[in-house]
Amino acid sequence: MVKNSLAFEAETFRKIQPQEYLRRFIQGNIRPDGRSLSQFRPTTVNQSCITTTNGSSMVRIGNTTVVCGIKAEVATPKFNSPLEGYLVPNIDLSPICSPKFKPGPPGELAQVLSENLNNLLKSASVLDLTSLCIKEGIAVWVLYIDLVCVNYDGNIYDASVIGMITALTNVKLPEATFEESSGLVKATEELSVTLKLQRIPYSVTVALFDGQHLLVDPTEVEESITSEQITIVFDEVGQLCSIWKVGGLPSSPEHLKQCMNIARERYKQISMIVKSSI
Amino acid sequence: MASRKRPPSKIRTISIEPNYVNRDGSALFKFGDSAVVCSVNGPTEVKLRDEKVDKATIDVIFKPLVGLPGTKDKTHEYIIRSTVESVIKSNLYPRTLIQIVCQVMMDDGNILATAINATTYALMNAGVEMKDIAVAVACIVNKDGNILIDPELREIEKAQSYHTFAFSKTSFGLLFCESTGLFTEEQYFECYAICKIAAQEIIDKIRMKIQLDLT
Repeated sequence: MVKNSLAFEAETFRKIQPQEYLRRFIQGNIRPDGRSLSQFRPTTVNQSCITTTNGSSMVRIGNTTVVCGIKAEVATPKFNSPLEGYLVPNIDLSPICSPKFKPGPPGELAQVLSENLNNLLKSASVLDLTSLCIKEGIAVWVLYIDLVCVNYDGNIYDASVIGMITALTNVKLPEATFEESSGLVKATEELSVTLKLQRIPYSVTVALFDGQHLLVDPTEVEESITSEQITIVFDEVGQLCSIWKVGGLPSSPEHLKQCMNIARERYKQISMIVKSSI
Repeated sequence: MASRKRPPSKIRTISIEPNYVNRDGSALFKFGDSAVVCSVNGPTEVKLRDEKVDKATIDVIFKPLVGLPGTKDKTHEYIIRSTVESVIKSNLYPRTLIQIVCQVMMDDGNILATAINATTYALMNAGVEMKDIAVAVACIVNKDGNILIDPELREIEKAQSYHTFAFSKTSFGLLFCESTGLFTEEQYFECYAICKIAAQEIIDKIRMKIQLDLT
């Protein structure tokens, strides 16, 4: 009887004093889910899991699950860039993955994530867009990169980036040719053309608690309490592709340096996991 | 490309016009030919759905120069909100709404930093209590590896990487940072240092403007 009431108290404590609850754990150098501060959750990657798409992947980081599917369509290029195809990333956060998302048009977080993914693809020139050209000024490939979050438990951006990049690496397109006589694009049955990525970026997110404790790979609970996150994206040669820090207390360059070191180590882990998933 | 008329580490002329629109607080902030108007309403009544019992709800609306707001503008809203949320003493205004509306008036690059500075000034103009002041500066690293601060639109188009920083006034810690493009760690911290110096200059400008308005 006594035991039961004690267990109840811890849960109540978490609900009414979430920050203090987390602080007590951090003081003991451990996190509520049993990880140490610098420990990542188990990550798994599954490639080409959806056969109806041109490229797909499923990524799990702990309980966070993201499914990515890439569908190719033919479109006309922009007038200013007649040789370039398009990449259109979009992430869907529906109520199925967490009660904090509402049905209907994409919410703020989903839009911010889609924009950031798009920025990453563009500014880091992950794919040479001219490789998507079928016929100059007439037909190019457009790749719709749809990411669906199945289960939301924090660190969605890292999962999305891994999902998007691995799905892009296993994209298979048909061989397409433009027929002058009929004015149509003809494609082969067989999907044989693969994409050559110029860069393989992976992101690492670290939450900052009380302006001093770095919690790598935060869960949803930790995200909601810390309000302060640093995301760092590296590519395979150790070049930075993006840094993103929002909210919370002001932080110092030392924190950023620490985060960069964490991100570099984690990059190796992720590329190992992705390699072994092929 | 015509070379820029000012030194690489010099920001454009700043001009601030407080009380630009007739609201609780407002300001027009200009970096050369980039201008953003920000108006602040509040603390005012909040919709029951958005009400927070222990602090104010902060709502940011970002309107682009032309067309309808897209994902980019939503991202700006998210950035501005999370930046000001950390400086406003929102626990002094429980169950209320502080609404911030930013409208781009002229776009010649560096819009996000302009908007953050406009918001800071408008919040002060509205008399919202803050524990700190956020100032933002941006810079680019061009193809030759030179760092150009407060970039213009044509410079951003040819940039190798683009960095926007927001600093807090009291500790000069980093409140917000967005860096895109390809860059090295050394370049990043170089940009960081240069922007930090420029942020001090902006704070001085803001202080001078306030003193001028009060006398």
